[in-house]
Amino acid sequence: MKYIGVHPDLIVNGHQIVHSFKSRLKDREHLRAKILRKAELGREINAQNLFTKVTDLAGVRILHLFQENFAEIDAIIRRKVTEDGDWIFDERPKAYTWDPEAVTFFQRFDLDVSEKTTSYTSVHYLVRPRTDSPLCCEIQVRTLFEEIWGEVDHQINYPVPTDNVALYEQIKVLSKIVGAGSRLLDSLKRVQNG
Amino acid sequence: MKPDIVTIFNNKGGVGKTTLTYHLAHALGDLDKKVLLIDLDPQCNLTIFSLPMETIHDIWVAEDDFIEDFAATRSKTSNSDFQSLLRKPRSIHFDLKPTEDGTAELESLPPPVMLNNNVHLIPGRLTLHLFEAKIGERWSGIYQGDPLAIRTATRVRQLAYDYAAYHGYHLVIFDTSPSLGALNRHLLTLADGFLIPCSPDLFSVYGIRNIGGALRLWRKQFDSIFHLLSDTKRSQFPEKFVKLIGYTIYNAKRYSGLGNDLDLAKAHFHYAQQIPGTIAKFVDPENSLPFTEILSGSIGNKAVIHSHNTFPSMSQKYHKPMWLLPDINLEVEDRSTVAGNQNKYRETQGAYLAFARDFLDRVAQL
Repeated sequence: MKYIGVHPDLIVNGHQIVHSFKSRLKDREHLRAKILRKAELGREINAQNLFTKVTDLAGVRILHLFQENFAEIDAIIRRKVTEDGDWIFDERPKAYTWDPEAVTFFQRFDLDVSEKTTSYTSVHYLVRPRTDSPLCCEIQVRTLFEEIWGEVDHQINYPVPTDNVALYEQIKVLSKIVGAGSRLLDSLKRVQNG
Repeated sequence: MKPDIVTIFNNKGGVGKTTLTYHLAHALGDLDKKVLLIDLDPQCNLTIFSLPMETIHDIWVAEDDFIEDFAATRSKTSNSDFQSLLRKPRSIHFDLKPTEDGTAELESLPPPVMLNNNVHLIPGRLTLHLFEAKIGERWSGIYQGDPLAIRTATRVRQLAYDYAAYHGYHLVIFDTSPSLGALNRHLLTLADGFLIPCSPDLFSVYGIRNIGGALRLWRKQFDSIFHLLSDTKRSQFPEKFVKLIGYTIYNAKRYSGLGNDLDLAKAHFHYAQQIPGTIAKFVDPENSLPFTEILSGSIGNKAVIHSHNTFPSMSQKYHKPMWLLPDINLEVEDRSTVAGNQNKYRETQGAYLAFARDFLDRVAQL
């Protein structure tokens, strides 16, 4: 399967808006586990529907410092779809967040916003090179703070969600802390720019 | 009308490919086809065969600075000087240079050199390796749909179409170097068909194995690319993958005492017999016209398989097809040589016409 990369153009206007990005192909064991989980929920994944049902075989994550720079990154991704015609959106891009303020922020964009209390803030795009292509890539865009939360949550709640109440509580607190952190950065930037 | 683009390719140099290409083009011209030869071999053998050295020198020297740095030289050149540069024939590298440098394309195409009414040539240039380097550098960009990468990959074909639209060519023939590098990957895959001239020896047999493998790999690469490109970008590449139209034994020693049906010396006959089987074994059928139709013998059958001895060097000296030599003004020391063999010189025309007719029949099947 060919990996659809992120163009270095995402480093915009000479400013390192994108702090870093990484990509991965889903490894065999994770895919196996995912197929089993889906099967338990009664959703069969077979050779025929693999490429339509599993859309994160290829994944790219783009990390940025300041929440407000999301606008530039979103524009670059959309340009690949609307102007260059190199990608199509497999579904409407989605923003996940627990934070009502973030909901307001993301409503300025062409996104489906989904509020989840247990979640963190991240935007997901599903792109294919052509409508008829089996290749799909999930692009996740989030701030560095949210990335910390995501990585810690992954270690504690994946593949099986924790039943330890203290852990569950503290992870929730952590999501508030990183949300506050993201907000503090934006405030710092606004003060600096007068 | 769109021209048919055919690439003449062999993996091993020195098989007389230049002589064959030059005479094939002139025979096609004699059959009332308009033909454009493009010399895409950095060694420029076809250009040297076709034109006097002074002519080549004049073409090259006027464009030297543009080959160094196109945009910088263009900005230093007055409009009227630049227009007069474009009114005279330029090398293929000059045509390709704006793409190589990623700058704006020429507003008008320089004329080709007219070898005669029906046969025209865009001369080669030694510096073409610079363009080849860019093809290699930008290759991975094609997978991401990068416009300059696609332009670089497909520019030669686009030029062939642009020239044909203006001059009405039925056929565009790419002459190539004997390598399977980045440039030839594109010259072969951007053509509609290709033919392999083979000398009947070990190298041709191995060359065919190589070509078959390269085509298989390239086809896979382009299939992946087309999986990723939007329809608009896909349309810059040929709709169909290139097909082999056949082979021709060339430059073989005539030896009629052995009773084999090709009148070849023993060692040559041994290799000549292996060529069709080698093609069938190493070239995928999907990358070829039907084997049943193209492997029963050389293109043009036996018409051009035997060596012409000293005729090609005489032909190159006067920059005329062999069959015209008895009727042109020759230097004193050549007159008797040619006059003594004049029938043999003239007979080459019939041989190449037979070759050209078979060539056209095969091209029609593409």
